[in-house]
Amino acid sequence: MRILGIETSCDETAVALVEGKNGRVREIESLVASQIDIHAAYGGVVPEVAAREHVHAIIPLIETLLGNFRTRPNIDAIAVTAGPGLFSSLMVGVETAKALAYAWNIPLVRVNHIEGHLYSSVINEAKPLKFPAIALIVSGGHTEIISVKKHGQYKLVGRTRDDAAGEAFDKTAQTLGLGYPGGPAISKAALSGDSGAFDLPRPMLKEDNFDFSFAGLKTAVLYSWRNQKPATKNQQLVSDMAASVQAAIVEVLVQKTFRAARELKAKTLVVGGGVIANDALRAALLSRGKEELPKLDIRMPQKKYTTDNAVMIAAAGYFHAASSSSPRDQLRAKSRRTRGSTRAGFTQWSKIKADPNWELV
Amino acid sequence: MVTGKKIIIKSPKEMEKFAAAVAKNLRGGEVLALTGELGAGKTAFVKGLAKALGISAVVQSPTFLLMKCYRVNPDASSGHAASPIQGFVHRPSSIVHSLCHVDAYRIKDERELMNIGLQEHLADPATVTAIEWADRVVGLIPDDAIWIKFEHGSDSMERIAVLNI
Repeated sequence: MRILGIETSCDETAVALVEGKNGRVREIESLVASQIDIHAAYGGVVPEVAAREHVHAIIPLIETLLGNFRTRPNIDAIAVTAGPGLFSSLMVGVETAKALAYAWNIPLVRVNHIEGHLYSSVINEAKPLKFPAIALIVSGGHTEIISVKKHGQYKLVGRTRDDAAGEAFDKTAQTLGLGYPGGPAISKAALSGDSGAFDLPRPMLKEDNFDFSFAGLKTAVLYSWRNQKPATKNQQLVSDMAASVQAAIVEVLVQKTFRAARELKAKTLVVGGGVIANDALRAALLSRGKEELPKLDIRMPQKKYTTDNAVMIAAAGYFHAASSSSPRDQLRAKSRRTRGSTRAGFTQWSKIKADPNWELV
Repeated sequence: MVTGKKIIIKSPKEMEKFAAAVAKNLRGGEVLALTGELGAGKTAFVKGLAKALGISAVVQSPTFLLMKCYRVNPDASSGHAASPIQGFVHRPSSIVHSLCHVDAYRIKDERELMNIGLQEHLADPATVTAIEWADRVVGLIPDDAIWIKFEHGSDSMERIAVLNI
């Protein structure tokens, strides 16, 4: 099954083609707007004043991906992020997907952005997922633990009550004068730092739930950093603080995730989101997993799939399409398609809407 | 008009109380321009505001998504002003239908917020818009906005809010 994926929930305009078969997904091609010269594709003039960047990028991007816009492409479904995210950004992807689904007579799958991150570790992997699974999704905007009973069946187990983990990295990097984006800056500085140098809080670690809170940690870093004598604030102290902050964030994420995995008897842990690119977090998940839950299959995405991309959206779309349809169903859906398919995996093109607050669970 | 009125907030609980007092004076259409450095209490204030307006959703920081909007449950909202804050000009609209929580922390150009439809919310008489880091997008803030500056206090729990209405 070939799926076209479209993702415009926040900053990136991204499209991708994947091939899905027997519970496995392989990337065919993936494009994000910053990779191609949109200005050239548009003939050189982009009216910046009215710029809604996604609007300018989306059509040239799909055209580049598919090569030819005029004939119906060889794809079996279009998967699009319908939420959560910014309404005006989501709308561009959703309306484009609707128009293409209608014009090409191809079924449409609405995908939740978080669900996309959840499937990012499946891409290009030979082994299908074993259920029940637990998912840790951590990015600049999200920090959530989700239980996955089987494909498409989710339950929110825990989430941040204030700042996301990625935001905690960014804002403490700001306090330390390390610049933006803060995640990579903290992780680089931390390499030469002592993670025990500062005694920072481990927010909500002892509480009997799976929620997170990182706003207090951000403030603790600020106050602790302020109390240092200016003369001592050299490169080494910055590195020590960076290492201490990173250790605090990683410890809370890892401990709560494994606690959830143990309590919910998960066979698989899938992780995803921009913060999963952090090497200390990756290493801690793997080493602690080996110690605490050696039977747990830990699935980590390739780093290129941790940031927002359309491959993961197409991958999630494939599982929706596949889990709800045997080959015969797919044939039937094709014959019914002009009226729109309303079966579980697909959404009728006229019914799909951008939903900025769409909660996965 | 009130300029520079200082309110000492001694705990997270008091932050909630202060936000609830502000919420009671809102009629829809107001813009709350929030300023103050990292950890000064801007998001905590908006969480309190949402609670007082009867929003049950968990209000998370909008730094990354730039804007998050919430529907107000009118039955649960605290209703009309019991203790008016001096300086508030009460607008004709009587019910707040939604709260838009905006964050300009990542914004480099004011147009970015216009591109995501901020002006539609600013112009809606039934929406209250709270903008964190408002001093970074001064050109977008209406003249009649309520400015609240948050400062760190004398200990780690204490915050100071400076009101300019």
